[in-house]
Amino acid sequence: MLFNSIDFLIFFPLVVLIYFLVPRKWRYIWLLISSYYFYMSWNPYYAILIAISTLITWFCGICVGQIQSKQNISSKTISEESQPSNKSKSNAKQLKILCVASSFIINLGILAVFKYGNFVLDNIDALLKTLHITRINYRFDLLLPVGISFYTFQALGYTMDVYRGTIKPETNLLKYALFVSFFPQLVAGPIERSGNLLTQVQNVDKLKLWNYDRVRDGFFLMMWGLFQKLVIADRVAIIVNQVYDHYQEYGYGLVQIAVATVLFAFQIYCDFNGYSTIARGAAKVMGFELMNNFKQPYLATGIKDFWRRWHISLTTWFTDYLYIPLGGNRKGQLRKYINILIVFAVSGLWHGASWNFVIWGLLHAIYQIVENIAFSHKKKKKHSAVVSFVISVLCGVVTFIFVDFAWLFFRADNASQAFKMIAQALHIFSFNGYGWGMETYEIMIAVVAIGILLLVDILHEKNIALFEVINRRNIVIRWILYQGIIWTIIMLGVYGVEYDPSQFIYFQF
Amino acid sequence: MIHFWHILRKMKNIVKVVGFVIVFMIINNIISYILNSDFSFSRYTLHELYTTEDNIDVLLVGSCHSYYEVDPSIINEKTNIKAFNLGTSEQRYDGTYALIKEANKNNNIKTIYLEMYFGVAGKNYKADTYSEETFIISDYMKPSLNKYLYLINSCSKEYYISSFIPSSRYRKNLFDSKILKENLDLKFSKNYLNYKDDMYAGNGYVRLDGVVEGGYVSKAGKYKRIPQNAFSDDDIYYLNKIIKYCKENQIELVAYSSPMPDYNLIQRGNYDEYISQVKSLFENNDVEYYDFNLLKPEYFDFNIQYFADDEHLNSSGTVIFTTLFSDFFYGKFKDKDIFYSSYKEKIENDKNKQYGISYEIVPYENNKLIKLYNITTYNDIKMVIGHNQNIDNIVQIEPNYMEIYVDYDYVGEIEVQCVTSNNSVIENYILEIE
Repeated sequence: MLFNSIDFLIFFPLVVLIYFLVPRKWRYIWLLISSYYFYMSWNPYYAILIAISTLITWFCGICVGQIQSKQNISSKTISEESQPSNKSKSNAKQLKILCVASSFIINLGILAVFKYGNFVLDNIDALLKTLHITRINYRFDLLLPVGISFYTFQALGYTMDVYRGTIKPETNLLKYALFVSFFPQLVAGPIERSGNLLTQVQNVDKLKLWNYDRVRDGFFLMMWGLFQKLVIADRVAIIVNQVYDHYQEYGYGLVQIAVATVLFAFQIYCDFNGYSTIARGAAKVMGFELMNNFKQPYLATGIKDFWRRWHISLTTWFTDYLYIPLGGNRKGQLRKYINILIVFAVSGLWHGASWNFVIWGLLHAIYQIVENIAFSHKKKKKHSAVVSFVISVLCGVVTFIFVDFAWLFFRADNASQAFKMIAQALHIFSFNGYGWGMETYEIMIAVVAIGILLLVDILHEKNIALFEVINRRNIVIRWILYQGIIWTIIMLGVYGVEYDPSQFIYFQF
Repeated sequence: MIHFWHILRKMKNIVKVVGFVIVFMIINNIISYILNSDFSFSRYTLHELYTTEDNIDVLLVGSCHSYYEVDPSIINEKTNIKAFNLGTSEQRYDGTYALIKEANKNNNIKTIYLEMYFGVAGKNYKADTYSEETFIISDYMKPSLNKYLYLINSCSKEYYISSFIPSSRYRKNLFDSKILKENLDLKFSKNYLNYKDDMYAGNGYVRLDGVVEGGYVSKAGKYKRIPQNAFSDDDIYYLNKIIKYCKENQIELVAYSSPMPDYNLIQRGNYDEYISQVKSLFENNDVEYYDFNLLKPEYFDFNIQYFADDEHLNSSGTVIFTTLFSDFFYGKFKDKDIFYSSYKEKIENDKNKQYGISYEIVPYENNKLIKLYNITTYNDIKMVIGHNQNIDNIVQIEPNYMEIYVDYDYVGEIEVQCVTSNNSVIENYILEIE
């Protein structure tokens, strides 16, 4: 069930209506039922996987909690007489590690089989072929469950938080199951932390039943997300697909490949941020606050800065649960760079079981390392406001160019296509006569809509909270804006019989 | 008063939401009004249905074969019974059902005549969706449960935005200044505002003038056989609903088929099969079916001059047919046997009739081969190429089949005459070769 589908247009108001009507203590059960229904609308069998993941991580959390509380009780009792023995401490720690490791192995195992099984077999076969050894020629007949990477990471994040003692294990299985499967962010994030979402789930019965302002803001957020998805992402996708799918056939050159790749940067931003914004809006309507997954990424003035703004929930997940455990930047420069390479290679693989994603991740790692080497020792000079502005614009443009170049690998169907397109772009400089697959007025709509998006991002960058500004205006201006955005989506959105309904790109991850 | 304001203040947010929705609906109507080209006659028909004061006793429903071919004013005049034609273009049976319910809301309908044109049957309503045939009805229906149920059931849910927010359907027109200008000119014209149209003659009847010039000529294969299962599951479902509704409301339901040119039906090759399919649909439901394509020549002359094209009667044909229709159901022909028992029987009795010709062009070596077929019941007729034509390579294979060979790049007109054994020319046809 896509957020931009009629099913969701029927599903969501119904869920919200009943959510407001059921007794407070039953609310989380209703949301859990709705979330599983939402997920099962793709494939009912997927629910088995999410249920397994939920059960394992919940049980692991309970076990770790039990070990911890036993340890605490024994240390209290013993402390009156003497210090606890190092042996019992290390036994408890080993048990905890065993629990967490089991949870990680099983969850990542499921992810590996469903997402990376055939990728591994493909690569083994390729290797065997080069060594002239008989190939395996076996492939798993499995469909990649929607959003498996998101909920697996969310559940594993909980396991780690319990292990580190930052949160207490949730004893109510159903509440925990809702935390893992909460439908607004289930299939494409943001990957929520237990400290945020689980706490809200635990207190769902204390939420104010009806808050007009909150519900209105939630719906407006949803509209803003739909605007990004339907008016920008799905529209520029027509040009992007035209160029990427037919680059050989039509001999597209540098200009068209570059334009398509720039547009892809906006497509993926609006697609993913659109989803996250709709998710935040939907959650807000029901009284939940989800984290903001994007912070004006294309206004970043460096690669490191870009990763502080792009897919924040994943970046922080990798930082907390992979980069820091690997040693982070505590073990010298070389180890730090190796850690960066590992994290970004894994991040690339997380996005897809294909080498082009790995290359995309590694490119970002190299960017960061180079940026780090080049700028870490330079002291910041003080400039006048104008010079600072020019420098930050230039840095922004250069960052965008590098990020956009990496997007080419992300968008290509495989690494080979990406390299072929780069080679073709370096050979053909002329603008050939083949069109963009879109009429001029549609291109104009896309350009104006991207302009609006950037304007909103600039305002946010300047700490001007647009929603608050709008909400302070009188009802006439507010309604003009609300109706305006709804009618823009209806009249200019890419949906319906003229267009194929598009999936959100990040669902495949 | 104070109490009222107190409640209102409490209801402020609900009032805001309702107000927002109302503004949304107003904007939707304004955009729709500007962008919709409003080409359909159903706008006039439904307006008249809603504004007519007299009770409608007889309702005619169906496709263009209903609204072009039966003029209710003739029935009204002859019988003093108020008839109204609620036919709309390509009307599917879900539309028929919705319209019957809509008409019966404010009228005490006694009889419904349901036209059974085979061209509208056989569709899968959910799959063949985004259909103008639905919107030209729903757009002009007053808001009601009947209308919304019709919209919900007429298409799959992917199309609900198009169905329920009509302005979204015409959004492509937003960037076409020519269409916008035409629409605005139309919307502010006197005729539009007063529901006047040159072709709309009132009571739901739309007058179609003109005759087919130069006889019937068409490419072979244009008139395909009627499918063995002419009625889809959706058709049958809604036909049963119509039958049930009529029974529940004590309305007599009569099914019929309007006259069509024999040139069309004869080439389909299986019209009798269709008749039996229709009959079997209704036989257990006490619904009579009358096929006016089986009329004997003494009651109706299926002459080309009464048809505007290869499907519909023209206004002269409609006058004759509606008079007969009225006489058959309410007057002098009531108990008369005016029909043949089958279409086959009709054609067998149709001696010496020239219906038209059909042709196909196929490449043959470096030439074009034009295959000519004569559709006729004459026994002693042959086709002849006009004298002034510079075509030599003609092979008469059979009396009613001829082959002509022309240059591959030949473009022009070929005159074909149908001539009897005593050399009298029955019909002249012009073939346009592109």
